[in-house]
Amino acid sequence: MKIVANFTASRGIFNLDIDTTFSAGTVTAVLGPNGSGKSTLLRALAGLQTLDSGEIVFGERVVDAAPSVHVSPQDRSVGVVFQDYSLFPHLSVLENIAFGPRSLGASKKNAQIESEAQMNSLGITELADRKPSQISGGQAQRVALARALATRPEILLLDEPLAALDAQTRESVRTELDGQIKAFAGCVIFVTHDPFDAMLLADRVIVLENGVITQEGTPGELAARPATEYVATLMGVNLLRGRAQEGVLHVDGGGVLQIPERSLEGEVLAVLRPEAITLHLNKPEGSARNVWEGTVTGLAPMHDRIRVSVQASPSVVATITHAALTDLNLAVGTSIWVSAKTLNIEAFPK
Amino acid sequence: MIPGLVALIFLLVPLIALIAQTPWESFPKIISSPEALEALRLSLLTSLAATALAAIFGIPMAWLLAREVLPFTGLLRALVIVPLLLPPVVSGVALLEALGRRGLIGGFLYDNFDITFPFTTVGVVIATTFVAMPFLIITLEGGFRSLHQRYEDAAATLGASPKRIFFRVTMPMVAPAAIAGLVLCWARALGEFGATITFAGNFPGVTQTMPLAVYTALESDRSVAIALSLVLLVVSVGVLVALRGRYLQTRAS
Repeated sequence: MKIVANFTASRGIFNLDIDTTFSAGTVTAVLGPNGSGKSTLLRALAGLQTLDSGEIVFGERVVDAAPSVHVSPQDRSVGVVFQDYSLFPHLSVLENIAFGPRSLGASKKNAQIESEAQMNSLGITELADRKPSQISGGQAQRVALARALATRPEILLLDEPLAALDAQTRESVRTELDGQIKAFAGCVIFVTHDPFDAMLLADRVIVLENGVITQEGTPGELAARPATEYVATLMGVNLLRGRAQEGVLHVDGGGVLQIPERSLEGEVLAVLRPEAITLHLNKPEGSARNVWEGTVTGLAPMHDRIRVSVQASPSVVATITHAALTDLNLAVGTSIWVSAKTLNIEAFPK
Repeated sequence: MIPGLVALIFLLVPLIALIAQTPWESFPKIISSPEALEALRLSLLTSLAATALAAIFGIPMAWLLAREVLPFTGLLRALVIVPLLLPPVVSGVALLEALGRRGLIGGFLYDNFDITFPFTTVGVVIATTFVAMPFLIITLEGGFRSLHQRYEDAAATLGASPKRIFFRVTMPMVAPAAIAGLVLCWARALGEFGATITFAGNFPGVTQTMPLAVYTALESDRSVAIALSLVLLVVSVGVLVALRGRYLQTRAS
């Protein structure tokens, strides 16, 4: 099944404008900063949010066509794992999972059989009689997934499925979730603000900023060719915008860089990896064609490296080792020379 | 500290006086007299009927206010609370103007269907419902408000009908607030005096509830008034004990 989503929706003063498709057997991550409209997109697909215009089509079935058609959430065959899971606190784990089948008319016995099957496949059988307040965050995540799957939906939506978990639980639950959603035959769409979740779990990533899709692609494509500063920052790379002419990039806001692609003309984006940048105290003389001067404005430790922010034309972020930091004796305010080999700059049309 | 203790003494002394003045020897005889039993029966009947009406109509109203379904929710909330602040005798006069034989709606009902509410037991139920229902609505509205909408959303995506969502998810989750609201509403209905005597009068066996019987007895036999008052005091304390989880804690955890 394929989902076609082409609509606008608003929540308060916020506007969402979506035009994309989702395919069965594909795990799509909707990645975006807080307030970008990710949850509104998910709510619209679930039928919890009415559209201002446009339509949503599930396969052959038009579930939304503003303003006349709106199929209610009950009749959409969509399973939703909510942020914080929203398990019913007054019901046991088994009753939570059986709630969906019972709502859809299954007998008590059949609902229990279905629920037990779901609990079995997710390894939570022993939690059946517990209340949601008596289980851990990782267990609650599995119960929420079992509850969503117990109605046998064709579409599975997950709203920040890992955000409610602490860092340690997160790793293991992410691995489990990876297997669980890959085993699901229908469309899986999950919302996250965490690039790691998107990279590790998704086949395809949709980037949402201020209510519009700014980029779609595989995780690899996003990392190689980020379309916006937001994506570039998430991927940890420098993104430069400017005009290319005969192998020279005139960066917006100042600065001129040599780029390898001589044939590029007009508006382009260029990616410069922080690890491909070299920092020098004095003007370097060597093979690097791009050399420019700037001032250190920030130093941030990251794993075993240091990220150095340099204000210059253009401003960039470089990563260096602790040893290099000591040798260069860098501090905020230090004047520094930046160099980058032309071959390390990847430019592409906007 | 001293003014605070004065307040405490001020609030407690009348209650102690009531207990101290209770004619214990004649107490069983007084409260088992036909008049007292009739008033007690009428009080229980009308207060429970008023609570039931408040539940049937007030619970949905509280939900509408909490979910802000209707326009001008802020104004509506203020209007709903008006009977809470209104002097009960004013409520009684207002009800007469609305439902009395010459009232706005009452006149129509009397002229066309020969239906009258004032000076009937049904009138007592109407007066007490009018005064007591806001207690249920404001208590429960708070309960509905603190219940995050996402539980109802989750139930909807699981295929539950609006009715099933309300009875299987919403109501069980607000049960503590619902019980507190119902008990407060019932206690207020049981003690209703001003609106009842104004709208429904003071006829033994028909509209003379316990508070009215106390008032009547004060003019004839003081010990009867005290004995009946004690019964109402015991009920109030019983309500307090029933709600101890809500009001006796020093701070909500």
